Amino acid sequence: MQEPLAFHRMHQARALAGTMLDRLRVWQRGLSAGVLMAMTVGLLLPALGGALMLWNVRQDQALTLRQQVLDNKEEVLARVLAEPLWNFDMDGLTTVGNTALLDPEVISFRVLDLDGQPLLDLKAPPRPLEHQQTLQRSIVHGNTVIGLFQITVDDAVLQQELRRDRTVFLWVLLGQFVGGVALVFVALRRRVLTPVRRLMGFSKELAAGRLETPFQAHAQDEIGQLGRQLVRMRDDLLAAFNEQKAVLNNIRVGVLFVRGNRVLMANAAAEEIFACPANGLVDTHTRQLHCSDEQFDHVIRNAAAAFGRGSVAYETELQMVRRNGEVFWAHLRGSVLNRHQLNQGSVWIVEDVSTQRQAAEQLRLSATLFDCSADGVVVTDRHHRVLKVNNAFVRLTGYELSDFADQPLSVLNSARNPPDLAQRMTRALDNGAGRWEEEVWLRKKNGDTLLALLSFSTVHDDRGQISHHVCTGQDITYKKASEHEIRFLAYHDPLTSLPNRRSLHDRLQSALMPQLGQPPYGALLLIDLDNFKILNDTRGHVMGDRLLVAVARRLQARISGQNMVARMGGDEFVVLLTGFACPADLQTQVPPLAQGLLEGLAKPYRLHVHGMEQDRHQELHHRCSASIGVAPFHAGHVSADELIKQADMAMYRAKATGRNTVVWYAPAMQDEVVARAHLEAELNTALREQQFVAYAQPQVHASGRLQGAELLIRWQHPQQGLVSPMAFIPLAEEVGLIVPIGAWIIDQACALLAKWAHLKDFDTLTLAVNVSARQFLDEGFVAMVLNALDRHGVPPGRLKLEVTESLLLTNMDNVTRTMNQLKAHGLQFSLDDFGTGYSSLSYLQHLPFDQLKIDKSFVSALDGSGQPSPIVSAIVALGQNLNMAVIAEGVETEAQRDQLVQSGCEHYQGYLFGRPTPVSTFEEQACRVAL
Amino acid sequence: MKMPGRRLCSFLLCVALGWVASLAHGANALPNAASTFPVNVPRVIPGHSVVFVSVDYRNGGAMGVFRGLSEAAHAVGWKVTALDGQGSMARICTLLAQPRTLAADAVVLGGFDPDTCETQLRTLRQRNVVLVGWHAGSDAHVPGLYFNVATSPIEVARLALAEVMRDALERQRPVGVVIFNDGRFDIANAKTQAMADGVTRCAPGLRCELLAVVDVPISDAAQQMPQQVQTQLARWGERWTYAMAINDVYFDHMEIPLQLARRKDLANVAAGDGSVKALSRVRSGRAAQIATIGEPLDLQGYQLLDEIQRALNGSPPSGFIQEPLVLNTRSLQHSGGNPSREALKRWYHDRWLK
Repeated sequence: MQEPLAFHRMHQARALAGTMLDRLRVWQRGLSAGVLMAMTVGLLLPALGGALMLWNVRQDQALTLRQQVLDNKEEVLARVLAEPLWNFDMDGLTTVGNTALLDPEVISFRVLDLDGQPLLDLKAPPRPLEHQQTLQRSIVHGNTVIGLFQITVDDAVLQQELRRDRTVFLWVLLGQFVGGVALVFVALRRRVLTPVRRLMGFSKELAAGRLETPFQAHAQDEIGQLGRQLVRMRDDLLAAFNEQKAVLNNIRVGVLFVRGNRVLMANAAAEEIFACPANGLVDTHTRQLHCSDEQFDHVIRNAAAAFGRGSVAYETELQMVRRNGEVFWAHLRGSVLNRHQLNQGSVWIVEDVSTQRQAAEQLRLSATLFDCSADGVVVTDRHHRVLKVNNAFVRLTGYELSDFADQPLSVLNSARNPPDLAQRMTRALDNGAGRWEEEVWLRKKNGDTLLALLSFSTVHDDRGQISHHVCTGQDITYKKASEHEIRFLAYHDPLTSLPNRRSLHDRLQSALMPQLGQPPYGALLLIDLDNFKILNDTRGHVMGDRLLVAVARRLQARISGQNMVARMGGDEFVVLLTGFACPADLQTQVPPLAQGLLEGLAKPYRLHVHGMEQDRHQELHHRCSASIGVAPFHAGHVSADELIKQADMAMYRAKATGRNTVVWYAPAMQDEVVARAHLEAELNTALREQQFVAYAQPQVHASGRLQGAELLIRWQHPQQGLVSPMAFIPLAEEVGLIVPIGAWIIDQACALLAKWAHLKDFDTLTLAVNVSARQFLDEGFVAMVLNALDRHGVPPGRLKLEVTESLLLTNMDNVTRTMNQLKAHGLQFSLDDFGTGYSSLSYLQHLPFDQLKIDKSFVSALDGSGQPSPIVSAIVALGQNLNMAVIAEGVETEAQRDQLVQSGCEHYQGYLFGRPTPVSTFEEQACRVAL
Repeated sequence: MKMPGRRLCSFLLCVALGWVASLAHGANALPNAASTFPVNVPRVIPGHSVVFVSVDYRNGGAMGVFRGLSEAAHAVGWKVTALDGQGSMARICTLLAQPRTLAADAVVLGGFDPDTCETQLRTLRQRNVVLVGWHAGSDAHVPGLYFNVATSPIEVARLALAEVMRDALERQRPVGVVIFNDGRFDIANAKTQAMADGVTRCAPGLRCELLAVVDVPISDAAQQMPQQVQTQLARWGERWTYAMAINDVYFDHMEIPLQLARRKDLANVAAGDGSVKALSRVRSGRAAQIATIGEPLDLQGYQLLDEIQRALNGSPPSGFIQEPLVLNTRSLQHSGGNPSREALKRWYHDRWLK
């Protein structure tokens, strides 16, 4: 690892040295180096010469000055010394001498008297000495020489000063040189080099084609003028370029100048074609303009080949790509500046031909559409002379284009159309509407007619004049028929073709609207077939439908004129009778009509039955009655919905009163409905607020032993007190509340059994609960029962569900499945009210009943003779044979009990053994009996 | 140069004396007559203020005495204020009438007679301001002053003459004396008379001769003395061995003329003055002048304070007159201290602050 690293570093060092040398060479070649060297030589040499000259002058001046100073010093000292020497003031002389020695040049001071004897001899402290010089001068007082003084001086200080001056000179010289060079260089750089460099940069930008590069030359010197001239040249060039650019940018085709596969210049059209911003194409590699590298190579190769062959230009049409990725068709035409030197550049003209291609495509598509259109198309000139027809037209009408050579288009006009059709069409097209559309009967070439939706459109030329008409025709014969069918189905019952509920509603709305001159009274008859469901269930829906059709025919046969028969749905029909001037008319005319309807419908029907063998028909003779509810009305005084509701109430009353009858609506019926609604609301409240209470009635054995009880429901109404189940159970069954009420009583039974499981004498008792048909057939019934048993932990065998025979008639399959499911868990079943319904021995054989409960009507019918009752005996025998227990309910007297005993019935329930009581009372009584 | 008057000349003489004392003090000259101390020196009460009015503080003597007085006042807690007359009598009179002068406990009259500014001094006396003098007259007792601190001109003349006699005895040669005097001043005349009398009396073993008393105004000494040297040499020749003068100024202009006349043997002794030049000459031992007589200025300042306290105490003046200083080549070259003068200062200190 070391060697490569060292090698790498050495390589780096070499590279760095090389770079520095290159820069040095470049710098040496530059103007700065030359100027700097010239300044150095030009400034340094004069500075050196000047410094030497100055130094000599300075030395001479110093020496001269020193001599002057010494002379002056001599004179001063001679003058100063005169007075103390005259006074022979030795202290004064000494003071003067010491003062003289303060001069750094003076190294000794002597005063001699007139005899030449030293009066004072002072010496300066030893110090390095240079050249010494002794000066001597007479001391004169007045005109008399009174002594002599000598001072010895040396020039060490002077020499030191000279050396210091020389050093200062050198530094000054150096500073001057450096400062001068710096100043000159700065000035040169500021005034010459930098402007020249800016000029160079500017010229480089211009050379690179960036003519917009800003440049300002404010200086008034030659360089500034040069810069301004360059700017003027640039501006002229730019103006020329802009002119060219304006020309290029106003060309609708894209122009690209390419060199080295890079775009050097592109006009605005090219930028627009390639979806580039301004100047966005410049420097773009032309490869990026092509859809693929292969295409680019292909174009380059082919273009080079074409130019090589001497072609002036290379043209092709290909797909190119915009900057946003969109591919478009382009017509590309390229030419080179120099056929022999392709690298000098090439000019490429790009034209976006996508629109043309799309137009051509559209044209092709239009032609195809014209030919393949399902609608017939005819193109005529402004005088309606046929110019062109499509295949569909030929197919629809049988006419070829050639058929119109000698006949006008109006030959298609059928006699079924209004006579003024052609005139209206011509007027509409010529008056500037430009469009005419109408359903028109056309006469085919073979003479047949067809209904067509014709649509004429005018075509205008560039001057806005009508040049052509285009007519499209669509065969709407079948469409019209379908629409009629749909409309019919919307307002009619498809089975009977009678008006349906919607149609009735519309008609009723109209009839109930008071209209001037129209008799305002009428009646709505709601007809419901009695026991229609039985036919449906026993003979199937087909037979039911046939009955309905037959009923419809009979009704239609009896109702005519402005009156209306409609089918409401199911087995319900409505007859609307209108046009009665007064209520009396209603009273007199409607009852016989209704009665006639009733009688007509009650006549036997012969219904065709399809046998097993084909083409062999049988007839079913069926009788059917109907219940009719009549709701008379006075137009404007009742709404349609209200009237239908009134008829419905009347019809139900007819049903309730035994069917096959006519009942007129009375306001009291409305009150009953309201009362039922009120009761329903109260039942909901009772459920929510737990107003139901459980009563138990004992079930005993012939031995007197308590075997169980039937748990009965009572309603503890807050205002009405205890309410009998007969008052609310039928309604609860009707409205569905029987499901939660039944669940409640089953839950109560399970809770009671759970409680009894821990009570002595109660732990073997069973509890019977009545279950209504609707509750039994509820989807969640099984889960509810099992959940209650499980929740309270009760053995299922202790709970006995009592169902009526009517349950077995509703939905045998579901009943069987439910009973088997519950039986599988051990629950007991008792068949309630046995003997009153449509008892079928097959039911008893297949359903898992544990007990038969003899209806109380049989018990109350016992004559008290003490003899066995044949019916009871038969039931007991039946139970024994089917392995079912038999219990008699409604036992109220001992005679009845005895007779039951005689008849073999050993289980009883009735007032004789105990009335239904609250559970707590029942338990107390049971305990007493047990005790 | 025209003399300003008799009083001013007297002052200049005092100035000359001051110069000598100052130089003596600076040269630590030994006192030759300080064997006696003042008696009954009182205890000094602090807090007094003294105004020292000098005729001219450019006079080194006056400044020396003021420094002595300030030194003593600082030691005892007195305040001394210097007022400078700058040589003007009118200004001196103005200063004496200033409030601060009137408020002072004592005023020192430095170098001027009490008959000057008589009105102002009378006012001061009426305010019981103690008036003391320093060379305010030729005597210690000057009318109008409590005391006048000064040396005796007679004693100065005597000591100068003693130096001549001592030199003559050492060199065993006759004493031929020419005395240079400024006859305008009483003190000068007194000195000259005393010196002349002394030469006449001579000393035992010597032959003395008073050759001449030459009257040369001090202010004309520079111009006249070279000529006087030639004149007197021409007149007396070798008989002239000693020159005496009332002031050193005469000898400032005699050294070179004597050398030119080849009379290096001639010795000069001055009774007073003693400028830097004189002391320099005497100390060198190579000059013609061999001695001069000066005054103890700092001690005179101490004495001034002592006298003022006595006046404030209502006591009589001490009467103490300090001895002049003999400044010859030997004393100047070999003096190692001044124990007598320091002893006198301690004497004052001990008693003032006891």
